[in-house]
Amino acid sequence: MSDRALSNPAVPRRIIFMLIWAGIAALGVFAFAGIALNRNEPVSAAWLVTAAICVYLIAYRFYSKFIAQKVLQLDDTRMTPAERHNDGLDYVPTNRYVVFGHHFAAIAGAGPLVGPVLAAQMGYLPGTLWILIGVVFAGAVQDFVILFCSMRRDGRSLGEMVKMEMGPVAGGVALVGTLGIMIIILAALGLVVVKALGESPWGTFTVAVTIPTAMLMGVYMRSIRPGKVGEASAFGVVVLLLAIWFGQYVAKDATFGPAFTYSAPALALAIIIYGAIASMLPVWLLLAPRDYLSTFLKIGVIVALALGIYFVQPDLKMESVTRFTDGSGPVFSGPLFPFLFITIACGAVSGFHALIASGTTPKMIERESDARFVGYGGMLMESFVAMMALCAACVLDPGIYFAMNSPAAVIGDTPQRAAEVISNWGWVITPESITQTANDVGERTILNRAGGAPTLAVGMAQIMAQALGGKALEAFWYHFAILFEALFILTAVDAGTRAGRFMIQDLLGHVYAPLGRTESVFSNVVATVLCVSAWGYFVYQGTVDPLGGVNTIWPLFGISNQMLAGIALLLATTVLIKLKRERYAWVTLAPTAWLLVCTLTAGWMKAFSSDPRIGFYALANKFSEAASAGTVLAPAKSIAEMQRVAFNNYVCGTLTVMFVALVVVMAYFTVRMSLQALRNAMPSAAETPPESREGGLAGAAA
Amino acid sequence: MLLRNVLNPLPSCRAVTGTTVEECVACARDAAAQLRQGWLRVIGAPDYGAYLVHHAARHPGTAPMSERDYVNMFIEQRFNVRGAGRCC
Repeated sequence: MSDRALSNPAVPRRIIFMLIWAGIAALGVFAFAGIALNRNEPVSAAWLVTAAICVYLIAYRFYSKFIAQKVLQLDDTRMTPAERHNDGLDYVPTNRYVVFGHHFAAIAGAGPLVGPVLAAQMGYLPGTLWILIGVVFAGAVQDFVILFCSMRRDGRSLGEMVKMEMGPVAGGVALVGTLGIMIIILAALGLVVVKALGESPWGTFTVAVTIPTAMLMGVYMRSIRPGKVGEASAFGVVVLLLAIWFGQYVAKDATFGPAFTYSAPALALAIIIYGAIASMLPVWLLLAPRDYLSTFLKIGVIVALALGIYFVQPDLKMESVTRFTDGSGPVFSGPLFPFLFITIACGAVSGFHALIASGTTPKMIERESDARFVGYGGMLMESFVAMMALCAACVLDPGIYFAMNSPAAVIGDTPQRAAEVISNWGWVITPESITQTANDVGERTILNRAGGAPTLAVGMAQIMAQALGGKALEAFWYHFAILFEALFILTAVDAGTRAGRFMIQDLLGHVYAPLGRTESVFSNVVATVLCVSAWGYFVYQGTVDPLGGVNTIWPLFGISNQMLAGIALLLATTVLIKLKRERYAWVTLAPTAWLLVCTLTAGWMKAFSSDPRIGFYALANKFSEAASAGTVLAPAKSIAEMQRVAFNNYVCGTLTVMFVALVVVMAYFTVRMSLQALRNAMPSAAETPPESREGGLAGAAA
Repeated sequence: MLLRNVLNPLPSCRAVTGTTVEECVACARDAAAQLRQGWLRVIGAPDYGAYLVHHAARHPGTAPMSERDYVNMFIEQRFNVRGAGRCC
């Protein structure tokens, strides 16, 4: 139908397309104007989402097309790794909509939900602008180009590609960097769960139920009905919904309530032990079934949240720009530049995606041109999730938002004190409304629950309850949201510990060969214990260090994640120059430059700023000097606690310096390789030699 | 448009006019099978049917793995690998 209408000479196709795109652009401008010009009336979250969708459509249609055709010169006559190595397991040519879904499910986790929530303290506008501009020019470009690079190299991983294109030393540096970011990510995610479940019997019970449920699913899929994922997952979803429902009675019960009530440090130890055991169990028993379960829920929740925002059209209660852009905010300290750009990583640009885009996805691509839809489009979709998380945080009463996300050191731990401090900041709130919000979601307290998950859960619960079920179901939706996040965080902890174990074994193998054997039980235990203790240290300290927690670890996570993005984009730039396409190198060079400026500035400030609220070393020195002088500084309660604060901050400072050094080394290798390639008259990228598809298929797909 | 792309190629949907009820049922069954297969791929689940088709095309004359062996191997390959399957 459309083909005939569009080829009618009376209405040239071009004009119709131009009108459509002009319409989308106009809608986008209108939405942005609505957001920016509305000074006194509250803005509906639906406008924010509309503006974002218009930006995504235009960026995808024009910029990604330019990258596909001019910069990367995708060629559908070239065989993809999926066709070349089709083995029915890893390498399978797959429909692009399916690859898109698969890739999206792999890249979107807790990251895009946490960062925007933390960044909401500066208002919704800075976060929105960075998410949109960042994704169009940096994040989606990175995912797309790395997917392209891997696709042209038989689906090789980021580390292998760095080694191939930039040499073995650069490859080793990238491996160490990847391990570092893995550990920091696991620590940050672990803390998010611990912070959400602390003193929450309802939440702890439902999350605990997921473990035996997943194991039952695993046994079912292995022994009873092999591979029947649908049946097992349906069972899992029903059990989880029942668990959420019964959780409220468990929490109220005189025996079971206290049995599921744990302090944050106890939960930290629990998740550390869990991580160690889970990552050594066979994958079919726990990891695989829970991964299926969490993928089902992830897709379901994201769709439900999008529908919820459009149907309910909640107003944004947070200001567009708050005074905390100056760096004095309670959620994370540091000024807008550079800290906004490392706080929101996933959703704008996330280095971790480079690992996924060079993992299973390139092995499924059917035609080269699909990489545009999967790589660029998939990241736009994640960015959309980040926008919804930002909306969910900003529809909350700002008073509640700050009560949930400020550390106890700033707002105390009683509703009275918190209400007083926050009202002084200019967001008037009463202790009663803080208590009421906690009651509404079935919790004893919502104070000091930094980490994004609980805030998002309250926001989501309010939106979903308005759409479905009203006040009565708010607590149900809250715990549903918590469970949903905990579910894929636990999967990430398990899978990440395994991945970290392999990396440690790789590194140890160079020192002492038997430790590198992945099939040896001894080597597995050693590497697992090393990996778990590394991230476990940060999780545990985050719960006992009075100044630690998500507020400390998240900047570190942001720096390491953006550092990995920097490495990936540096690789992409090297590849473009080696392909003799230096006139398009700005496509990757511009975001690289911006990321390096942000990461290096943020790293430098986090390490060496003389302001103890920002600089790790400054805080460490302040506490260690006071400790040796025998004075106890609040919020620490003893000299031992003071020394702990000092030590933790020395560790964090040193890690930051290490990350900065890694980026600088990688930049050096890029410059060196690029200069070499520029002098070289011939293309020198190490792509797999092109192989044409036989017969008339060449150039058929578009 | 989008649905047509996803479902393409569906042999029984080619003839639009003059279809019988049986053809429509067959078409719907094909579509459902394709959607199911796509969904399995999206969540990364094993698909024994697709494996059998692949095996018959690529390795004719050899015996395929049993469903149990295939599922076990698939899950092992997918989750017990070096690359992390999931992002933050």
